[in-house]
Amino acid sequence: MSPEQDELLSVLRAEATRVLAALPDIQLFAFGSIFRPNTWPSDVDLLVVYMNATDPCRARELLEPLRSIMPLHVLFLSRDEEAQLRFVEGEKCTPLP
Amino acid sequence: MSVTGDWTAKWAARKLRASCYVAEVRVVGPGRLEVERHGLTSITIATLDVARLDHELLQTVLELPPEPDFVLNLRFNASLTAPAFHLSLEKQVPVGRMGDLAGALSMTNVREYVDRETKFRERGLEQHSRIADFTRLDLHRYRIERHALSPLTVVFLNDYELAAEAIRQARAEHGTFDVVVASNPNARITDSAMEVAEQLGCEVHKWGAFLSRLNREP
Repeated sequence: MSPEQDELLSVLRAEATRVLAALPDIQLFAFGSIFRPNTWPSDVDLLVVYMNATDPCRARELLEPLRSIMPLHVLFLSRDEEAQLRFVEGEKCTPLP
Repeated sequence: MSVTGDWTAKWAARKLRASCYVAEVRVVGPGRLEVERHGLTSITIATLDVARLDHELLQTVLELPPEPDFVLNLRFNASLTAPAFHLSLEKQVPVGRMGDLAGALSMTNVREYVDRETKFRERGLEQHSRIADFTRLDLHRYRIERHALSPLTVVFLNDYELAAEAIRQARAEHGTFDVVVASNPNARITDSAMEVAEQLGCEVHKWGAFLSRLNREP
């Protein structure tokens, strides 16, 4: 990973800590090209696994500061949907922080 | 990495420098890149990151010098309002994401760029025997007139997976529609997405099933 990618991930992890403190029932993951060595990503792929129907809306609000410094691509899956698709396993998602 | 100032131009510049078509990239102003290409003319890119690009904002972007050849919106699934979409066509300045720009970079005239997904989709609609006519309403929506059947408003979504929240968000952004089509051929439609669609009075299909659906009423 390049130093710039490491810095990007540090920022992401710090923001994830803030989001999870406000929304402890969700799970946050990163996946995709952000982990490709020495490749600057087109965007930053995040997965939010949520329990409550109101979580996605709140999560969007909490993730807004991140949108002012990086292009986010956020996929929202309920826990049932994640269990159906097994997306975390299939895409080798990395839990945040 | 700077976290202040115009991050969109810097982010895009970093990505573009890796392209084999690009000789050099310069940030020439807030949200403006000058891209020198190997063996082709230099082009100007406007960069931004907005969830909803309307006519007023697009006009402002297009009028700020230097005039862009392409407008790069980094926001995933951003909506482009119908008036903004038509302004883009009128001024011949494509609006797209990084993948679209990557496709345009190899073209002699990037202003002629049409994304592959749109080409594929509209060719399919043109060739369908049940379709009398179709109108693109905006970046994601079409109104389809059918022979001897009721018209349909269709939204095309390009999510990794088509989940319940994507359907809810589409309703919030696009208002009412009859059908959601998963554009991503690898996307799976979750059971919850089907349930939410039923609750909202719409249908969800993948492309092949959508083409069959066009031949009948619900």
